[in-house]
Amino acid sequence: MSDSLTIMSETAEPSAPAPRGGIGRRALRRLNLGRRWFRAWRRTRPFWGGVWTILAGLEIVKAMSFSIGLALTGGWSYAAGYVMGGGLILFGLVAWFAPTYKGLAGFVAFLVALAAFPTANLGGYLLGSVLGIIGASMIWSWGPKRPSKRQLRKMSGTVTPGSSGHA
Amino acid sequence: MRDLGPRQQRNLVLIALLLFLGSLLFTPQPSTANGTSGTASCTRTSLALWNGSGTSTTGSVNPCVSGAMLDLTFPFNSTTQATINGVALIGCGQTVKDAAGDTISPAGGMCHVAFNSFLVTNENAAVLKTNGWTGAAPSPSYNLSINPSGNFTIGGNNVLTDLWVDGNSTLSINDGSLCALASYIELTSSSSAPCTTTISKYGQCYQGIKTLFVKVCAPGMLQFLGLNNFPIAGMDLKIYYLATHNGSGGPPGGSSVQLPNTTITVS
Repeated sequence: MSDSLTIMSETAEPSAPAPRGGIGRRALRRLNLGRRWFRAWRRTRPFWGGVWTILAGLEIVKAMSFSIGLALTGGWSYAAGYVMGGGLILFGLVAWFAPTYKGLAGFVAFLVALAAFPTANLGGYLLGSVLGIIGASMIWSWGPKRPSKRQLRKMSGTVTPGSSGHA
Repeated sequence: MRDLGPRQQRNLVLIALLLFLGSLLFTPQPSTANGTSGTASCTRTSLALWNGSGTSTTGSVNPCVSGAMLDLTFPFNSTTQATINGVALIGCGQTVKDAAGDTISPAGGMCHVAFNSFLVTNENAAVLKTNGWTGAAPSPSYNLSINPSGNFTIGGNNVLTDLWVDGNSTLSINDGSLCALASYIELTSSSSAPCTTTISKYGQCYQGIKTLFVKVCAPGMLQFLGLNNFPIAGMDLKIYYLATHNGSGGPPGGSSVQLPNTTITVS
């Protein structure tokens, strides 16, 4: 397996020499495994919706620019950015790690992003609220990808031969 | 890394919801001037407000007073730097406690003065400075200066401004007739304008003078002297608490504190 990999890289991409020695090969293999794992992980949850929601939360927190100390003692007007921004970050993470509840996470994140507009510096100068609404909508609407027509035809041909008229 | 199981996911969602709702519900609220509750560590002090005539008061505020002193100064100047339509000395020897429950004891005693329609008209020399320290002694060796770039208002038209100040605070009046009258009743040493007087002098010298001072400062007397207001040429007010209201203890109309572009420096 490792030999064939080396041969392939030497023949197919002569300009990019394969790493020599065991450490380089191992690192490459781990990187490849990591990439595959991450792809599988990303495709089984509302990843991009979570990314936008977390970014929205960070932007809202940054736009408020009050210290934690002031937020803890100054009341709601100082703490709103941390609460709303933190809420968006929290529900973005929930969407990642509890994708079963993506409907609830998306709905709550949507409400938080909306509420951030009047409470947290116009929702981080509008950008945070808009990002949050987009991200939350993506989380809420995320689901298994619909197979293409070609895949459907292929599936129907494989599973029930001769029954394509019902698809 | 394994994905979370259904039960773990449910727990995660519940924890997230509880965290968020908790932060919404339990965000500490700052104390308000009129509130009767606030942070548990705050001792509130009840301060009566001037009603706009004589030395009568109406209503009160119950603030958490920080104990930090705000020094509002206009160095003595021959031009008018601020105007006040009416001034009253409610009394000296006032008891004002800070948030920690300790009575604030300024060097000149604690005096309660009140202004009607206080407007700062000359920004050049106005400096607001505070030691900005409410913690235990010794206070750090820095000052916060707030320098407005233009006219600013602390009160404004038809707004009463109540101040609890150090009795050593001074006011310099820029009007000959008022100065002559004030010197006649020994409130100032100079009878020509501008003349300077010390706040505590009214409270500590003679009770009769205090009453007279109130009469002098009444709008009726201003009209008698042909004045629209007290032209202030300088002041050094060491303020421990300031409240603005509409004359009956309610919130004043409009914005009672208005600052233009303001430079804030720490030195």
